[in-house]
Amino acid sequence: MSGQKKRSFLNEAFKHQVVFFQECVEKTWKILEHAIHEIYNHNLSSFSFEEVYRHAYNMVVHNFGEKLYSGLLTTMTYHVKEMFKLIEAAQGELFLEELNRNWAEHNKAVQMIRDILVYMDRNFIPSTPKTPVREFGLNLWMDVVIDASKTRSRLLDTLLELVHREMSGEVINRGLMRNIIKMLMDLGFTVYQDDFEKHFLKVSADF
Amino acid sequence: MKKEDTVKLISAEGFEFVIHKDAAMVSQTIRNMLTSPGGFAETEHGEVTFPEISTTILEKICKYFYWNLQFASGKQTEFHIEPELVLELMMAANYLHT
Repeated sequence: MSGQKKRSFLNEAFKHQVVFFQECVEKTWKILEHAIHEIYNHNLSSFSFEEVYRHAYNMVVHNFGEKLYSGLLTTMTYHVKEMFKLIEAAQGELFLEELNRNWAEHNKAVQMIRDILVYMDRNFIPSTPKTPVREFGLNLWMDVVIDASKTRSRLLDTLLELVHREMSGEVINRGLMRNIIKMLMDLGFTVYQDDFEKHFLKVSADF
Repeated sequence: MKKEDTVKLISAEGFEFVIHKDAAMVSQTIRNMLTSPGGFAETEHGEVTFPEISTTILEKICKYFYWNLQFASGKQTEFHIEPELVLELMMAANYLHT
């Protein structure tokens, strides 16, 4: 009898906690959303890792993984689109530099998001057909920036022009070139081959 | 023990445990906290507060960190856990990815 009583008491306590969490899940998500924005704005010193991680952990533990994940996608997509606008607006030489700078920032942001949401990556995503944070970050960059109608040809043209100029004896920014090529490699070897290598070999042969 | 090599873990009740970073990094979560790029508050101050871990549990966790290091380096002893701590300890371990 007393055992039964105790159990129902525990259940009551637990239920209370769950109901309580449902009420503040919106608030929790707002904090996390804010943190993700701040990651992209490089303004994190006010944040405690433990706090953000704990909120993400609580959302997953209380079955709000779905909400966390879809919210993350929306927020990240928004930021990458913003970056794309900057890249698209850059003219001439600046285009590559802008692309490189934003790529580096995006990468860093993805790394940090992965760090704070690692609990979701580890315990929620494997049980669903969703893509983990890092891969999603790469795919997103691919879809929004590289696959955009103009970027692809523009990137190729700019790179080939640089190659051509170097072949004619001019000094070019090799570091920048290397970073961009590395970006293509990170996005996948086939991306590198299709978007650069084939054309590069052809142009070199012509030269 | 130099200050750069240590990290301060603070329990829900405010007790402070100063332990080696190597030991604390047995926990993947703490490792991420201390190594993540981009200057979170923890990386800068070298202290982490756990508002959801009680002092008893955190003490046990710190002991476990050191035990784990010893075990990895060949000193294989038993790690004793009081049965009444098991549930909370498991939850903390899940949270800390230990």
